[in-house]
Amino acid sequence: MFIPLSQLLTSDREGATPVARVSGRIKTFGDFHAEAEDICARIKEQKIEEVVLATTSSYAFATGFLAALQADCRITVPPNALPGMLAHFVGGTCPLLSDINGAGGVHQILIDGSQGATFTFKELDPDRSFLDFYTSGSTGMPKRVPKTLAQIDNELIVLNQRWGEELAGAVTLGTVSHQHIFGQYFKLFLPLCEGRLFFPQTFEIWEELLAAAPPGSCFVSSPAHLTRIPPFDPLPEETRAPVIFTAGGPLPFDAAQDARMKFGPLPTEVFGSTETGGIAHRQQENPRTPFTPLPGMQTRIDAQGLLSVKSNYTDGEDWDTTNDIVERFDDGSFILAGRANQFVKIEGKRISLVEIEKYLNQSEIVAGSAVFILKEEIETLVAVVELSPSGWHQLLETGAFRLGRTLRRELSPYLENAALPRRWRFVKQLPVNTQGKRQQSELNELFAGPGGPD
Amino acid sequence: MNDFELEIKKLVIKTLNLEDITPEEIDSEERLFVDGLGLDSIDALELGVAIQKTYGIKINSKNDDLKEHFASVRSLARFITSERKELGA
Repeated sequence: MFIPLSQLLTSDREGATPVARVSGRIKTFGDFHAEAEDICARIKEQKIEEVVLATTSSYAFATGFLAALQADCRITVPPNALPGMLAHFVGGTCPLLSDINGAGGVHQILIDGSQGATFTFKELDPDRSFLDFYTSGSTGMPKRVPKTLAQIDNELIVLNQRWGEELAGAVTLGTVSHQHIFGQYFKLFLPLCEGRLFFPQTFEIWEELLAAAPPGSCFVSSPAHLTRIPPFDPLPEETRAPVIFTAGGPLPFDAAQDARMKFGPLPTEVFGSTETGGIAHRQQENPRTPFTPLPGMQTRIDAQGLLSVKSNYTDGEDWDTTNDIVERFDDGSFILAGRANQFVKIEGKRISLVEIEKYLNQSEIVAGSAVFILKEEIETLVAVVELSPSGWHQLLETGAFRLGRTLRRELSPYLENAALPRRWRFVKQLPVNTQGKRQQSELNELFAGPGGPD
Repeated sequence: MNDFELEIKKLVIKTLNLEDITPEEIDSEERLFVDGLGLDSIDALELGVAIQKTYGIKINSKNDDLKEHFASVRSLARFITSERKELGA
């Protein structure tokens, strides 16, 4: 039975209901309730009003999430738990709530599955329970996207309405993180509210996911994984996945067909953003299959084809303009035609090129950089780097390949894998014209031939 | 360097489109992921697919420690060799 997040801890859900499979054993709703009480009591002791929530385990995230709201804390949800990201947010008045021991230094409340301290839960007021999500911003700094619990509950009700029957009883496993809104809703909150078992880890490889998955499980994945399914035999008919969710970027038509052949259904592509939540979905029968808006979601376009959306979970319940250009049909469905600003999507992640260059330019061996998408058979994130004198020294010592990998490592505390350039060129000077404007055609040209120092 | 290790180094470079590096520059013992060669989780996915397609083996995570098998070129060579023996290849 579906219970909204705001009512979950005060509901009459049976204590024996399985919630998650954590390290081989089942956590019941009774465990979940007791662990949330313990965390809540520990937050209350600290007399704070804000926490940062970043965890490895989705189960730990869910206990921390409801405990913090019960303790009247505003929650910051960063897009990942990298040290450079957490440093933006964590401090004395805003500690880190996490299952990663030591990640918040002295400012941490550890989620360790302990039970003992008690707390009497109240029904949460969804309009007065506040969260801040973060996503790539145009200034190179993460951009804040505030939400209320009411928006989250409203969207979960819609998702339950659309997929609840198809998913009845299905266990959920995912290759995506719950720190992003898609993974959070589909891999964690929807199963939690519907009373279905979920696996709390983020599976990196298919073999591990399939070895863990009970028959008939739901997969929550992304184009990065669905384009890289190993040559498996198709799953037997009776063990097939009822629904495979994917989001974050366009799923190539061939990858959709490959997933259907091996796992059963055509993947359900969910289109949306952190700002708007889920907008529409499709199963790609053919490359021109349009996206159908979710129940209650209205769509419209302006003269350029820029999509605006409105539902009871978009911001302020008013029209919310996206960055996406679409071809819209009379019934409200649409086909994606492009993006309107400087953000790029790669491996399903929205990234800011300015942000990558900002971090790159902080390196001792970098004097200047240009990061962009190279459009060949596949789109690749690439970097052209003007090296500092110590950079040239290092290039001679280690070679171009290892220097690129060294720079990827330097970026990795701040940026996710998808935002780390895969191909590198090292130059004496970045190509600019007399006005100092970057010469994109010359930059592209650098990747036409083999690498090596220029 | 033994021939099979060289073959795997070539497969790694070809599969992942690594530029500016030759098979000879990869040490058989050096770690493939994170430090060492610096490959990431997407590389791991692609490498896993390529190895299964190239050598006709199945990677089964139930009883194997995959992270150890994928640690270096040498461990990968050992792993593929023993899997192929089991297949009777």
